[in-house]
Amino acid sequence: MAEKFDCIIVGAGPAGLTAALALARAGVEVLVLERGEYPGSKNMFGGVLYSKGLHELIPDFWDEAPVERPVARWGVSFLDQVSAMSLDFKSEQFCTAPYNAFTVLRSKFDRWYAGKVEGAGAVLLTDTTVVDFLREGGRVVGVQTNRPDGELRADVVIAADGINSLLCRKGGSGLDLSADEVSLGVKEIIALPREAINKAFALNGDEGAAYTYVGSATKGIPGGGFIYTNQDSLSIGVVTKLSSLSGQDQRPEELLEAFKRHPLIWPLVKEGELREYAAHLIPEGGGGRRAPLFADGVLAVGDAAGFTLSTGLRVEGVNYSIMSGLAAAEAVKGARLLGDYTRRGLSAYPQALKKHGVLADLEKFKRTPHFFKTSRLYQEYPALACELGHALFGVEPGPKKGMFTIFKEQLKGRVAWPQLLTDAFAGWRGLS
Amino acid sequence: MSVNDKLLKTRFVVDSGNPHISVDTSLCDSCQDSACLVVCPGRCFEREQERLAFSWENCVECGSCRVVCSRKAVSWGYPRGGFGVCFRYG
Repeated sequence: MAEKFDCIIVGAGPAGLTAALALARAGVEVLVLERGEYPGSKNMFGGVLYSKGLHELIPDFWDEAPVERPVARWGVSFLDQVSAMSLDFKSEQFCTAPYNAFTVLRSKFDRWYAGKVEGAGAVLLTDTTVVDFLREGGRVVGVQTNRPDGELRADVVIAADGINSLLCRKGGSGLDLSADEVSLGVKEIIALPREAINKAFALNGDEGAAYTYVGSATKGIPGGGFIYTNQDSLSIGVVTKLSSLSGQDQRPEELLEAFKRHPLIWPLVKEGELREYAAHLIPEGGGGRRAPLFADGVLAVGDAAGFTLSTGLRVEGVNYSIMSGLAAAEAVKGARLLGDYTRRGLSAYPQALKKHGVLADLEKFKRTPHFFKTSRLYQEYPALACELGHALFGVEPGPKKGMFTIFKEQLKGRVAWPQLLTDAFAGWRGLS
Repeated sequence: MSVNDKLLKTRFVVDSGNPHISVDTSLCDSCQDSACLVVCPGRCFEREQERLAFSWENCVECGSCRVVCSRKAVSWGYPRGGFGVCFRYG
């Protein structure tokens, strides 16, 4: 294969496919390489896609895309061993166009998205693993695949090959990322009849729910548990900070099993049947990452560039992938006009990332990943919240205590006042 | 339910005889933290008679072993195109 393309995109996930869609629509000859049997076959996430970004690219995409359910109900809970203190929000407004977010299964969704990209004129080649860049005179001029005669040339390459990006890790690419600030997500797909899901989660018709849990969900290890409702299955999983997990005697699938068996979770899943077990890493660097995003003849997008944001209430990855793909496409179009694909020609990329909100958000929430390192968030505070619940809602013999007295009593021995105030301040700054 | 039982539900296209990850287990004998034993969600790392044993058939390609190995004993790569884990739900 000695064919040359204008642009080669490595990885048919949301970041790569978005770049491909935007470029193909602009008449750029695009080749998308995917190592899986089909796009989505290597991809997994928790379960929620925020609509906004994709709606701008493919208006009313929900009419044709294989989305599962619009998320009507959002819940965040502090969990101890027997109880949960929750924030529960439900809105019918989230169930009408333009929808806020959908639960999604990536193996179906990414495959559909790739079809749209092919429809726009891009070429998709599956079953093809890219092992390295082709370089000439220090700049990237294509990729080396592990097919026979597998050299493919292009003016510019977009590395959209995910969190473990082999390309960005290749020495000399200029993009040597150290996205080792990562979390591990393990997840099960549990099949349940649609009506059973609606009953268990108090949902009507197509409405979906997205619940996250902090505390006992991970046995106090930094991270959390989640349950998302699909059409006729649940996505249930736990996410733990990898560096914290590695020092424990709890294995990830054991944590997930324990989360499922929690007395408040078990009734939701016990009738279900396991359909798939999967795991994936999640970049957690946030705005703290300082690795270059582009070099001569190459740009990094999506997870490969470390673009995800978790603020506790919202966890966004795919959205930033889509926006970064869009920004990369704009930078490539700019370079094409100049006929210059070096760093200089691609230098509009950071500005485009800012314009699409990727870098701006990561900058705004740069303290957030630091806040989430506080072990008290996973141990003392869930316990405190649940004990407060017991004290507030329980009736004990003797005279009634005031709310502040209850709070003071529960705080005692758990967290010192100055620490509480510092954490509250850090939390406020980190999350707002 | 063991990981092996769980993984029976996940589709794999095994590239027989072509491991995409190799582990230089000679570096593992003196390793204290053995983080790979804990974190691997496919339980591909086991200790057998004081020695580390690695099998790649259950690998879900997450990359955790690559990140946690402090000895740089893990040579991590992707399977050949079309092989390896193949999620049907994802």
